[in-house]
Amino acid sequence: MRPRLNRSAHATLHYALIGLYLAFALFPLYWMLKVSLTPDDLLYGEGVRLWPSRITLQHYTSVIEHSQFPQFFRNSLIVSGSTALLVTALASAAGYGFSRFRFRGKLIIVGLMLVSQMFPLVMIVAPMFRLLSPLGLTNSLTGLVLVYTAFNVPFASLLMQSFFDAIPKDLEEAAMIDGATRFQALRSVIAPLTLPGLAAAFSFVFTAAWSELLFALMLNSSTAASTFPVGLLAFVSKFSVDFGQMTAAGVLALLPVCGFFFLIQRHLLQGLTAGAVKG
Amino acid sequence: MAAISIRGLRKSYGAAEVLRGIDLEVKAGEFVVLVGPSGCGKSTLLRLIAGLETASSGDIRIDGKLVNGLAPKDRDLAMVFQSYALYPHMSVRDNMSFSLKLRGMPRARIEAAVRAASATLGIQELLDRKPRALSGGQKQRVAMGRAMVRSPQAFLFDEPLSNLDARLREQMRYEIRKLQRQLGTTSIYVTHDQIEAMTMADRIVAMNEGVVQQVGTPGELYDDPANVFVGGFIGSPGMNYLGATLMRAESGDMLDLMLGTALLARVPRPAAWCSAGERVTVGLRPERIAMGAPAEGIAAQVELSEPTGLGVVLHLSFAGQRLTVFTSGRPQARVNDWVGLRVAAADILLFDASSGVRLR
Amino acid sequence: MSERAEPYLYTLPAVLLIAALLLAPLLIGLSYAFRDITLLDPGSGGFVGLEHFRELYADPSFWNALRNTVTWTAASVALQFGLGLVLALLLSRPFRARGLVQLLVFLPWAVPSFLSALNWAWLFNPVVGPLPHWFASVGLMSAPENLLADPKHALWGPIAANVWWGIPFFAITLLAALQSIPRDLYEAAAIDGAGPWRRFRSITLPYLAPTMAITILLRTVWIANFADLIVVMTKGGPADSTQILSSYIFTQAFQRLDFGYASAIAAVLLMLLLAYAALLVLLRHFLNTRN
Repeated sequence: MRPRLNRSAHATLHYALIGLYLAFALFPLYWMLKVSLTPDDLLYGEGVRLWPSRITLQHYTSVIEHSQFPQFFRNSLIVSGSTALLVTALASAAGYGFSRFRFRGKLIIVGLMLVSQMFPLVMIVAPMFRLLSPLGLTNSLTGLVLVYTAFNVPFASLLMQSFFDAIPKDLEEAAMIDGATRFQALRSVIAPLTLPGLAAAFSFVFTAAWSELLFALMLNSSTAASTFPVGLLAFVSKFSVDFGQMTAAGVLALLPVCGFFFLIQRHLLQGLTAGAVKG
Repeated sequence: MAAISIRGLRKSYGAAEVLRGIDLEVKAGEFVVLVGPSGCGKSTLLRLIAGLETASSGDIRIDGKLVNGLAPKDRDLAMVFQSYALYPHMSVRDNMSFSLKLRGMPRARIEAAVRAASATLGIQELLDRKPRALSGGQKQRVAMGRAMVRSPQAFLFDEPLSNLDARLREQMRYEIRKLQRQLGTTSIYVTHDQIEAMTMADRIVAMNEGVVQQVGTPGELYDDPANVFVGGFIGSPGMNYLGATLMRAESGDMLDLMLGTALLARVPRPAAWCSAGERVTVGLRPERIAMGAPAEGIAAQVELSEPTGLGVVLHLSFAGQRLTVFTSGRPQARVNDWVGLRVAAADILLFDASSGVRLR
Repeated sequence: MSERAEPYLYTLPAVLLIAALLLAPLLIGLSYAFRDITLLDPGSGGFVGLEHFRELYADPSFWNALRNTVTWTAASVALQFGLGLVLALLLSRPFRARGLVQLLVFLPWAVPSFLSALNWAWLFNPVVGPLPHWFASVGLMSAPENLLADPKHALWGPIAANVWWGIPFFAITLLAALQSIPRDLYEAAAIDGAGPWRRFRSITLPYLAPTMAITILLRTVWIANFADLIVVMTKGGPADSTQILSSYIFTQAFQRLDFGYASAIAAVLLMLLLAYAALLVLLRHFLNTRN
């Protein structure tokens, strides 16, 4: 039998470990924020202090007003938003189909979706370029939206399927007996109940599209069509010493996705775990 | 109010045949109960009538019209689900108005219909609540209200009382039946509970393994079961089935029914009887067996006594076979006592030993 | 009958899109492995058979990348899983402010990968980052230098960024699995006299095993393919020391514009991953039949 003393030691250990994890998780972000607020003259001198002796918003203003970042930001917003909308629509339809119907070829289609998640996307960089180039879809936001949509639909469909699975079939059947077509039942009865799922899928796809680097790099060579990751990377290689501006741009890039994350994290967790636990 | 006619209905899921040729005529205004064990096909049959599934072959006619190809929304039927299936994000009022709104009924008429139905069911105070704020019995009533407002050609009930506790179930049985009589709407009610079938039905359809075993009034199924399944399914405690032999007796038309070496009774010769010494299955209802002194009948020993308040269920054994006897009132024998069992010939049901079909 | 067509109406749009933009390019890409496709050379496009594969076999950068891929994947998965499991266990017991802690501790997962890469690159940079100075003061380095410039240890930079970014994913999945274990089992075991370690071994681990297996399988494949962090932090350098197969494919395609060779390497990578998956499936089957 263990002595009682261990229980409070146990608790202290528990909190200490959690504190370590918190520090590990938040420190890099904190540091980025700190550098972004450090004026240039203090940057090299005070390099390793935990907080600068003087802070400035100058980097933010130069990023927002005097660089191309607003355009990159806008492009990313357009691409991520459109992708998320398109994927949510397609994936809801497909997820509903998988959830409610038994049909020939279902197994193959679901299998294909799973397999498509497994192969290296790098593999299709080349053929994708050759496919989209003659169609004029390289250096275009539209091309990027199409590609990102194709990447994200499989996972989003399976995610939506698990959300639909959680809603009893009785409800549609009751609505259909009440006089609705299946589509009307879907719209009036089922859709309102899957709002958490839709929000989760939308946010997940938005974040994925926002973060995507390699294809954006490959398919776009003009700054006009560059998304944020590409723009930031180009900025980094060109101005590899202007850390203040770079970190400011980084913090700005974080804002939309962290915002989304805070808004929907509970539903996201629900949806992911429902899908993940099912394997 | 419509009659429903089913001819040769079959349904298979892949290789599994769930319904194997169902013929059924439901009269207008009738309350018909489909009863049987899990997997017998009763729910599938109901869903085929509703249009939620398509038949593999056979016809379904409502009010004389063939409905096989019609979507559920075009069949003018209303269904009450086991899980109630109330729309969670809508109020009770909106739940009940949903179908009428879909039809484009003017608002005033919808409100009047909802008011009337909720008054009949006593749920007026619940109209603005959401389903999650309702108790089981209340949800049940709302589900019925939703079905009622449409004045459909028929009601379909899919085990609506299974999720309620015993007391509530008794009460709702009475209310559903009373309501149906009041409205006069044709109703098909699915349950696995034979008490619900017996107390509520105008006619019972007993089903097993995808086939209709017998159709009749509760009395007919109880007194005159068509086979071993129906006899055993209807009535509680369940019918005793014993192996016996028919022997030739001195008087021509009567036969000796022997349980082992003991004479149980003299019974009229069944039309299908072939030869002396033929084995049959005897069905004896526990409440029809009389108990007396050991010498007065077939000797059996009491193994277990179950008082139920209403009466006593005694489990007895004799000659390697077991049976139960139900006597009302107080126990007349104790464990390990020996008693003599007698049955009147009129209370004996004979069944073919291999097929289970009733020998009349 | 439109009822039969219904499921296809709902699912086909998604399926068609995937077929056109994922599966078709995949098959085309596989074919490039056997052709000469250099983007800037208008005369290219001919069939070259196995030449790329021969080139690959003799290419020391390829084998180097293969070795790095193994190190990268193994280290990332092991650390992500181990630390993620500990985090999940810590979060599975209720405590004050757990909701807030959970939110904050999962935040790295929301950070775009390129930003995570840049962030850590800055952390390792002795000019603006604290890490080199801390390493030096602790004795891990003789003087504050950039880890990413050291060919012997540079790979640990992206690994650190990957682990930071990837722990939440494992933690969330394992936490959900932990929370689905019925309480009764622990209570029964406690009544039977099992201590915390015993309970972990006999109840928690077996219950978690299926989830762990699937998650690890999927993440291994995904991490092996994950080139973003390396491309951003080191571009595969210094001297190819951080190059993994997928980043090598990318630099071949992007910089040399030799799509044929890049596709050959990609084909090899795909084969390896399929073999890995098949191996695991066989292993699982073997373990199941033994029980």
